[in-house]
Amino acid sequence: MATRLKETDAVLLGVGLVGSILGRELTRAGLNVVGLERGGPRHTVPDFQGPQIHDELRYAVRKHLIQDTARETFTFRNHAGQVALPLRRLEGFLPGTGLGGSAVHWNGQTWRFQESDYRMRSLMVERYGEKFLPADATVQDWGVTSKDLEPAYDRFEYLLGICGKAGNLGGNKVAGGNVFEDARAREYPNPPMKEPYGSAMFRKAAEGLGYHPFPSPSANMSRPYTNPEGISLNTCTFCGFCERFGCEHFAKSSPQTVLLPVLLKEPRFELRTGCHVLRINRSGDRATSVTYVDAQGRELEQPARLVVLGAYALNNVRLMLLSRIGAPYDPATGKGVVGRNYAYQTTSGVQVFYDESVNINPFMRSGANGVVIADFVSDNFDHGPLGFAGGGYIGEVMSHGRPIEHHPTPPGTPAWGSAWKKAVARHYNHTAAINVHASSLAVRQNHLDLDPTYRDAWGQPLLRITFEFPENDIRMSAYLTAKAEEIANAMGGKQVAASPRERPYNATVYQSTHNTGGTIMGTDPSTSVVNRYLQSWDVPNLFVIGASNFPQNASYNPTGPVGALAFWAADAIVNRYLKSPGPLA
Amino acid sequence: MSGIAAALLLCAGCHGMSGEGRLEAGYPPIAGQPPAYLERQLEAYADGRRESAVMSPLAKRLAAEERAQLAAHFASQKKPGAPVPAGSERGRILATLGDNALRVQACQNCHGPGGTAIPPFTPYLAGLHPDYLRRELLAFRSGARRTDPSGQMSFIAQHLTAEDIAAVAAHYGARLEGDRAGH
Repeated sequence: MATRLKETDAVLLGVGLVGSILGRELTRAGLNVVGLERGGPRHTVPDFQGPQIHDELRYAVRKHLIQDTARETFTFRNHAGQVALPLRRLEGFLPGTGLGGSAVHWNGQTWRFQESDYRMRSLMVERYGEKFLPADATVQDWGVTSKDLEPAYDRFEYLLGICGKAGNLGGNKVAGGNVFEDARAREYPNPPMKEPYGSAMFRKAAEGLGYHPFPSPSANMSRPYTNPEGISLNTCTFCGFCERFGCEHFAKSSPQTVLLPVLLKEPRFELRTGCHVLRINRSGDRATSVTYVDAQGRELEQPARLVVLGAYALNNVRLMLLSRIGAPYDPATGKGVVGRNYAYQTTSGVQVFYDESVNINPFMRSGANGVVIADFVSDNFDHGPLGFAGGGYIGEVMSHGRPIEHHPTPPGTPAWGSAWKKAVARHYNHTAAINVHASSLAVRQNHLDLDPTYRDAWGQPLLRITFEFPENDIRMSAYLTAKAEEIANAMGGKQVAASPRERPYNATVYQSTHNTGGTIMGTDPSTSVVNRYLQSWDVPNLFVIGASNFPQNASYNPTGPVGALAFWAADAIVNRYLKSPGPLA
Repeated sequence: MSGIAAALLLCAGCHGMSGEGRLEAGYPPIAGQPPAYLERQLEAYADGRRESAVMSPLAKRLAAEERAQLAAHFASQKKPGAPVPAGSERGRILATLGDNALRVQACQNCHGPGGTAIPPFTPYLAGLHPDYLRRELLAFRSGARRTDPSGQMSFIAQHLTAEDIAAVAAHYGARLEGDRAGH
């Protein structure tokens, strides 16, 4: 029997990026807030300091900062005809755990989605007709517009100190920035990072082909910055240990470097780490409490008037299913909502192999610096003759050249042995990588539900992932990767190798930690889990926030939109919900 | 006497022929510092990013080629030992871990475990005189020294208190050549 604790105004499930933002906004509004974090506390000093933080084996290979699969994991299958099996080592995607969540080990690529993403179905139908989207596509509008979210993006980017160059200031296009972006109110808080050599060669080649290259926006600092919370960040040193690592220099935006120093001093906020939430309890249409197991193994019940679910996207979905809030999605009938529209990211790459006179220095990079083009993002190009939906950015964004993981070799090189070693030594410093980072269409068959067989350390069902790349995305990847190959051919290398995405989706090869959907937002309760304010349709004192809200995944990286949605929901809670608790839409 | 030999004698007047320095007079050892670091410092003295009534006029008289030759000479010398002032626990923590509340990372992240340098541009600290280290941190703090284009060192020096600057300077002053243990 769980011990029942004293009621609080609000409880946060997860103290990562979303939890930290909501903790700050809700305590500022006068609420007493309890933050429950399943992992441990950790801070730049002492946890992320050198030389131990540069232990590639510990962090990148053994994934020290990632969800512990001995306690809980996911089961996976490509389609409903297979039996899903547990992922006993996470490889394909890496949900974080611990204070700060995945925003500790992220790369820092910080984007805004476009109007053509938020209103994808409406605008595709408008431009290409009713029959254009594939029959199995469950693509839908978000229920918000680019204009709605602009102030939230602005707050998020200034909180994090994003480094970039605007391409559309209040409707005026700015050469050198992303001219395809929707209007932003003001310039980025910091200038772009320095441009690496490989990026400069990409820029020149892309420009020569008539595209519009610009610096990738980064949460790795280009200079010292003090954010609106009064917290200072230092300059990135291009150490090459960004993704999968915490930043030792206070130079990558994370809850630890932009919010927690203020939030943890707030008397209305109480952080409890080592607390694994089992479920949200409800009575009728009200969430009444959450039940969790603390670090001592005690089962506790924390009553709260407001519940904010801000765990990793996949775990948001799982907790909704475990709490039996919202009808589970059934792909056979298309009915139900929780677990619907699971999507991913369709990535691919092109390598450019140079002769030994060209030094790429891949080790001298940050997680997000590079040069990209948005000419093939979203609906920035005419899909009519192409017959597929979606798009992606193409760019030279090499996050590292770490010795264990970075071994570029040309096609035909043996996979092991002395010939392989020789090829690695020959090509390590003379290879540029071009990334294609593309959207993922929501389709009827891809979904999330509870596994019928496998359970976690607390005896609860694991989340089952059913995913295969839709035919649409395979054709999109072939098209985009061919465009990237054209740019690569113009970059002056000796040899170019393109790898468009192919089926089947393989969960044992890292592609991206961009798992989206499952608790999607919308304007119709029969096709969405939360309304446009991220409030549960079924339980109005529950807000669910994260990439699980995305109805389908777009071309750009998801952290920018997740941060914007957190501020958007926080604003709705503070300025509307608290004044009159009840359904907001 | 050739130009470079004359220049070398000028350097040696304070730093010694082998770059061993004269700690008691406040002239730091330069022996065994990374050559690119030494060359960059001479450039900085010449163009005003680093200020010194003694070094600036001398550096201004050197041609680029002479700077490179002098840097190469002193970089190839053996690092000297150093006197051992008493280091404090606070100094050790700042050097090896940093301070979360001050938002200052460990010195050794960039200067290497034990403060033994990470070439090409990050100098060794171990064995430099505490007075010299303190003076340079204060110069980074005031903006008199602007040799770190990233702004990292200015940020760090601005966040450290005067007591912390003294503590970390004493810590590295206490390191002896060859002592890589750090703590």
